[in-house]
Amino acid sequence: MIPAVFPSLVALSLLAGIASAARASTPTQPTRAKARVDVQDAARDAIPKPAPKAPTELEGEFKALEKEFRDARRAYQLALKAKYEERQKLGQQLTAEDRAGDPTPQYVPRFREFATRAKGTEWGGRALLNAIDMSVAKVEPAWLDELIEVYANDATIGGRAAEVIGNLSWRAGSEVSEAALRRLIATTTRDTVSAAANFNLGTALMQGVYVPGQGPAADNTPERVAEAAKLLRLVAEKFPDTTYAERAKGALFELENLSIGKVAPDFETVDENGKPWKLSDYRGKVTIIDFWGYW
Amino acid sequence: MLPHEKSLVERLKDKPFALLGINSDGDAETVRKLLSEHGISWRQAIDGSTDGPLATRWNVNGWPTIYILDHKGVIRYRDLRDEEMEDAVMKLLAELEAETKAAR
Repeated sequence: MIPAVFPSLVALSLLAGIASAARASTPTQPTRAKARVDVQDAARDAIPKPAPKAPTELEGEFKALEKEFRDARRAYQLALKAKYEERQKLGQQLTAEDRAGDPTPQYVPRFREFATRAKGTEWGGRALLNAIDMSVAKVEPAWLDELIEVYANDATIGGRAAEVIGNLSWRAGSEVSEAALRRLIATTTRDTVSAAANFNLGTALMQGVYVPGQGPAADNTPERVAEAAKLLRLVAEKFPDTTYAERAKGALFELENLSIGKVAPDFETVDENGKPWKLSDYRGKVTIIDFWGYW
Repeated sequence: MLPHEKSLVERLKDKPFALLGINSDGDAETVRKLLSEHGISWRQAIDGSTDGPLATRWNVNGWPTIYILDHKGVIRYRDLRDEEMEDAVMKLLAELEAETKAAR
């Protein structure tokens, strides 16, 4: 799970981080954005009044800000990767000094400020999501309230909100993250948002309780695990057409087969020389299975 | 991670121990290159990408994800790194040794 490994993940998944940042900024649902413009245009025609800043302008401003941030972040990550490789050669870990200079905190107030001006629009929602997602040290409860109140029924922002809130566990603690997901579930009337929120609450409950700065508790309670299974099954059954249904099935497989104390399910694969092997070939040995990538 | 893994593999080469990498970087050629660049000797599964069949089936969403199994194939630890990973392996090897002795 990402939260459990985050502190050192920065080093190993630098480029993955860039890739996911790029994914996060993929333009979404042009048809919906277009429809919203039409409605606003119609409203303006009907009642002449000073036009609010047009969504297209907000879009341009948001994208420029996001690009500026992404470029700054990429430069930082590439420099960090170089340092990481240097340290690796010397058998050393990255130091706090190596990690200094992350531009992220500088951009939090800028996304926050934009989110206030563009409140209620897709771009305002995305800026608010960024501001929350990028607040590493402290997450403002009022920002979460705003996210849920304003965007719970926005299919795009609401769904992403569930992901961002789910990822808060390790920073803000399980209590904050899970309570916010429960509020999102109670507030939304949209299936896609509901699926996303139930899925994220389910996967959060699969893990031990996080206290900020301490990582997850080693032991999870049976009650949390049982609720996790219930929510994941609900997502798989009630929202079969969403991507969350597949992810819920994956999480259920993990919950049912990959918990501590279970016999690891066998698999067959091929090694770097094209030779097939099975996990069960290693029965009788103490075995580490390391899912890794150098990126 | 890597330095610890290398020293563990070297130190335990005569013990009933295996380190298995499930790699998400790309095809076999890409991985072979990586292995030789970084002096990685242990066996790999070529999973192709982060959406590879094993990563998908095992619901892996973060890298590295680490499972530590005892000699019976039972999952005993998850996501331990470096010293903690080494300690866990040593503990499981001691368990195996004690069991083998008891069976004699």
